[in-house]
Amino acid sequence: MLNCKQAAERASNKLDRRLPVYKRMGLWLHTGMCQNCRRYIEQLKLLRNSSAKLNAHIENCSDKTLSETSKNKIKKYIQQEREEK
Amino acid sequence: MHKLSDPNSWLSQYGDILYRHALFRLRDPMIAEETVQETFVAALQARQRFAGNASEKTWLIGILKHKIIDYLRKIIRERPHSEEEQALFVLQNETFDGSGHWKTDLQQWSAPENALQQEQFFNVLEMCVSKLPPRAATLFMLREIDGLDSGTICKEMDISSTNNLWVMLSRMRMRLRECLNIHWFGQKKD
Repeated sequence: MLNCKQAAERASNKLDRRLPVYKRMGLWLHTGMCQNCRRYIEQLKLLRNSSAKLNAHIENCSDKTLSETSKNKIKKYIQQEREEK
Repeated sequence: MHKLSDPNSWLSQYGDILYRHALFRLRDPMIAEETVQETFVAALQARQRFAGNASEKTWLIGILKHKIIDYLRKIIRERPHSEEEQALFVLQNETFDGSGHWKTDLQQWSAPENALQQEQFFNVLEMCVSKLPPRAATLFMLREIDGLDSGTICKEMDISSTNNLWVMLSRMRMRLRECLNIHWFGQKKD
C-alpha cells in the first residue's frame, strides 16, 4: 500500500508521463481513502493550469522595461549592422 | 507564411516583451538586458535564414530562449547539486512524518477557479517561482511553461535519468504548492 509521500510523488509523475496501469491503480486506491492526497492532486491541477497562463501575465507586466541605455545600445547596433550590408 | 518586418522596428515592437521573458527566467536585470541585446544581434545575423513558419515574435522569443538556456545551463552546472537538493529535501521532511503521512491536514483551497481570473494571483505565483532554487526554477520554466517533454529537458539540463527529473519536478511542485497555500490561499504553514 502506498503512503502519502509516495502517493504525492506519483500524482506529480502523472503530470509528466503515462503511468503503467498498476501504478495508476495504486494511486487510485490510495486517494479513495485519503482526503489529503485528493486535495493535493486538486491543488497540483490548479498549479498546472495557472502555470500555463503565466507567460501571458509575464509579457504584459508593463512596469518592467528595458533601460534607455540598453535600448540605445541595441538601436546603435542594428543601425551599424545594416549600414555594413 | 510569415514575413519579417524592418529590423529598425524590432526594438519598439518586441524589446520590452523579450526583456520581461528574460527577466523572469534569468532573475537578474543586467543579465536579462544583455541577453536581449544578444538576441537582437543573433536575429539580425540570422534573418536571411528566417523560414517564415513562425511569426516574427515567436521566432525572436525562440532565439531568446536558446540564449537563456545556454546561460542557465552554465550557471547550474557550476552550482553544486547537493545544496539545492538539500533545500527541497528539507521541505519533504517538514511535510511528511517518518511513516510518510502528511504531518498536518491539507485545507481545501477556497474558490480556486477565481484565482485564475485575478492579476494578483499571478503576481503571487511569479513570486513563488522566483523563490525556487535555480535548478528547480529552470525545470519549472521548461516543463510547465514551455511544455517540453522529459527527454528533451534531461538533455538540455544534463540530467542523467528521467527518474531523477521526475523526482525533482515533484519536489518543485510541492514547494510551489506550499508557497501558494501560504501566500494566496492564506493558510498557515502546513
